[in-house]
Amino acid sequence: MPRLDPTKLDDLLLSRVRLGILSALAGGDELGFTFLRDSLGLTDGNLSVQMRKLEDARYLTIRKIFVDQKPKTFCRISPEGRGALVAFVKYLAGVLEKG
Amino acid sequence: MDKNQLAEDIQFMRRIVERTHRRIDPGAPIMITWGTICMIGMPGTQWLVNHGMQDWIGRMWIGLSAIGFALTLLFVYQIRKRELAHGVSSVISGQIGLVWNILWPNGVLWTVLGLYTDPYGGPGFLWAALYGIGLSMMGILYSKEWLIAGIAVFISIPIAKFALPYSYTILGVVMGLGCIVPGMIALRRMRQWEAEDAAA
Repeated sequence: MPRLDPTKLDDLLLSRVRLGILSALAGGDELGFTFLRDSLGLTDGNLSVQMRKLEDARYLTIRKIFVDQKPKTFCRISPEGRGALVAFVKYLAGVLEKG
Repeated sequence: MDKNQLAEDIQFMRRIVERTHRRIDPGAPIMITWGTICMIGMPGTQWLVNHGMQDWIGRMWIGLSAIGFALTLLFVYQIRKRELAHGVSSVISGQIGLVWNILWPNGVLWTVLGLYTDPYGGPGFLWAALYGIGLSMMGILYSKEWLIAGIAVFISIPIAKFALPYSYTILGVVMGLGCIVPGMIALRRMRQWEAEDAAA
């Protein structure tokens, strides 16, 4: 998997929004669409698009459930997503260490 | 990518992770409930023993445990509902629940089957050890107050051993405060964070 290479930058995580989504999910929690939208200060449309991109890359899994008869979207980081985030952080740390 | 942007990215990630962590509910009302039960039940046991009323010990604990389990189910339902409404289903909450779900049946089994006999003073010591483990695990998974409480419980065990006539009272008070004080700190912190988030 080339994206897990800590010597290269993962283009998908260069977006602040996508990086924020994966960071919020990094603890393993399952987070709702509205929580992510409010936490990251995004619009519904923007968050949907970015989540779709991360889902297409298999970085997160999306689940829809009904709460009080209303549909809610929840998502969770996948092992691939966690690996990509770890590699990204290692890359950042490596660049900062080199000065 | 310049260094300032990298540092900003790391700061941004840290801020997001912290904000998500703030939403984790450690189940403080559940801990306060069981802490209160310890503070009533353990000294109560001591009192019943001192007054030759051992027959009432089992009845008292069945009654207290029934209240505890009923309230726990209610609080678990409320926490789950709140988590879904807020859009946070926390893995740490699940792990904390799992720790206690492993410890409780073990304690009940050992106590009911009499597997834990009396070399160190009775089932009260077994429960103190289990509470100590549970609180320490919460300290590792959630926040350090719980770890301090867990250590306090472990320290109270040898102290209670050397003061056997007061052992259950000592253990009950330490176990009770070990659940109640961090629980109240966690509740206050959660309310403060909620107010901050609402203001932001």
